Amino acid sequence: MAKPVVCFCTVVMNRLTHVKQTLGVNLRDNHADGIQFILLDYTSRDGLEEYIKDNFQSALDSERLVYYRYPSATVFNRSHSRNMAFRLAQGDIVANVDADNYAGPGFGVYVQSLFQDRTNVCLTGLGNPWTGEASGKLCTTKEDFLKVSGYDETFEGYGFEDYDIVNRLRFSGCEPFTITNPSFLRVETHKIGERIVNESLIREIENILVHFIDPHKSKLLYLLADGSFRTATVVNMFTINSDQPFKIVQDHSYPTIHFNIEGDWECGTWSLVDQELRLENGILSKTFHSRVSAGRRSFKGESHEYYQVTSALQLDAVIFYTQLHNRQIMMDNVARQRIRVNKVFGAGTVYKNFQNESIEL
Amino acid sequence: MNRLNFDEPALENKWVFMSVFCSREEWHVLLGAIRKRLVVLRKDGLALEKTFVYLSLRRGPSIRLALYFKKVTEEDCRAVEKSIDEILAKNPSAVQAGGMPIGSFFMDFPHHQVKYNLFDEVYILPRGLEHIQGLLSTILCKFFEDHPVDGEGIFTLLIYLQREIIEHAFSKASERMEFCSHIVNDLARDESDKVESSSHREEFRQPVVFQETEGQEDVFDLLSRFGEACAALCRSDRDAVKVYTTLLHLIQLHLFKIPRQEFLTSLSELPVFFNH
Repeated sequence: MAKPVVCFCTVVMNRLTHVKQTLGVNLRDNHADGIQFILLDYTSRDGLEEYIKDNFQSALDSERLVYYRYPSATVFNRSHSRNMAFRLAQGDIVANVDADNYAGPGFGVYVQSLFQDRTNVCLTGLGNPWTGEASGKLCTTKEDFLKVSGYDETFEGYGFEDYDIVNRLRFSGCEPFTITNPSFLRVETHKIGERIVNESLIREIENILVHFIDPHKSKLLYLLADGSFRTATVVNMFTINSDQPFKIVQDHSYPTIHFNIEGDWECGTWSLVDQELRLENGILSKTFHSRVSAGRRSFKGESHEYYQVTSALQLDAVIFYTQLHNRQIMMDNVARQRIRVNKVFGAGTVYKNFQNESIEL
Repeated sequence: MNRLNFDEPALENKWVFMSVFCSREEWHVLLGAIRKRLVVLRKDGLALEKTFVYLSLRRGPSIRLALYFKKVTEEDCRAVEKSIDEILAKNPSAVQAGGMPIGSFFMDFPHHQVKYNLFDEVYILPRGLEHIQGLLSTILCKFFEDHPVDGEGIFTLLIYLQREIIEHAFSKASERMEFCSHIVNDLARDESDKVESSSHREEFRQPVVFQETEGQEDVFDLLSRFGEACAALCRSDRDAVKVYTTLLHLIQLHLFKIPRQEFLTSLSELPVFFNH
């Protein structure tokens, strides 16, 4: 294969701070023939467009950087946005570099040389020994990306989309390799809340309650703003065998088995009238009376008492839900050895380099 | 390049991690009692080679024991567990476990229970630091034989430990003062990952090997050995800040992941010692 063209793709929704830190550095560190950067502005409202216009004109003129704007997103969708950017990339190799990630000096040339010799491989930041925050880094041929139909767009919010696409690339015959060179794994560290603040579930949740069963099991209840609820008993697999000296669940096995759901998620509708929380799902109707004990609000029913999740844990509860939800889809894709998951992916109308002419994907 | 490996890693059975859940008020009694019982068990043939002690408030107050066995069976573990159960029975907790609010998605473990594998600190034992971990554990047990494990006790121990590190890392009082002020400024800058990132994956170039001495040393003898170990680390690594932050991380792990503010406050007390 001739020296392949590598397109680094970064999708951004309201992360101007990170773009300011990383984009210029990434361009400088990877100034070589056949290396291009795609920046997909996923409906940012923090001045990203103006910042790019004002600061990267020369890179835009030389087409080392191509800026696209998708103006129709209401919430951040990790899979859809990445699929859009990868579809827009014209290179032989497409690479995801999150907005808070540095590509690393010479990473583009390294990727070129790797894929020049072999095409049945992909590179991933998953399992790297340095930082989990570089887990989203992925390099694959565009052909393989299209073959697996991109990131699974049924995933909701944060978690496991990277594992899932690497699994499916592997099923399609691509051998995954982990990026281990620390200079290719540098990131700007930041709070996890920033990652999910633009996602749908965090905006839809009205309240999160927990019923404590024992040190290993709790029942979580998510009350959504549209009047629906979702609930399930979560099992902490890390502690469930803690009576056994040699039955260890290693911490790094987290992606697959740290938490499990007992049974299935139950859904229904909720209402709060006169300090009474009512849950209904067509078969059962349960009422819980509001009370305050030890300074904490709870809803007490016949067999369960639900406590309000403390504000410090609200974010964790959202991530918990999306990860459990997404992991289930990932495990299902693995069990069925699925390669393709989307019929249509990365669809939408985008605008290139501040022009009015639209591009339909 | 590494193959991406989704398989579970092989389990290493030589380390056994035990959490002894009991009220914090009983810690100072239990620490000594458990330590003595482990010595007896070892004399009776238990192939226990190393013991690391941590104090934890996660999922309920507990004394954590990382036990390294030359050879271990489930019966050995149960024998240790039984001995600890006996100690717990003799020292009932005066304080009830649990209660609201619960700062986790799962309720705390009740008192007077021994649980396995709730923590795994092996990864923070870089080569050359095991000896220091061992010393810290022994110091912790000895120190709290005479002091309750309360805020004042922890603070006093922090001062002792940091004093040893800094006195052995720098020979001149002025250097020590300057270092304290440098560290205070550095830590106070709210670089939240500073301590962890500089120590987590560091391995010292020259493993430092010490002779294990089992004897009736008092806390100050142990602290002195701790200081010598710090000095040796500084000689081998020549980077006092790195040595300090690494040791700080180890101390933090042993003392229930004590907040950074405690370190800052205790550091500001240290110049008083260096002036004399």
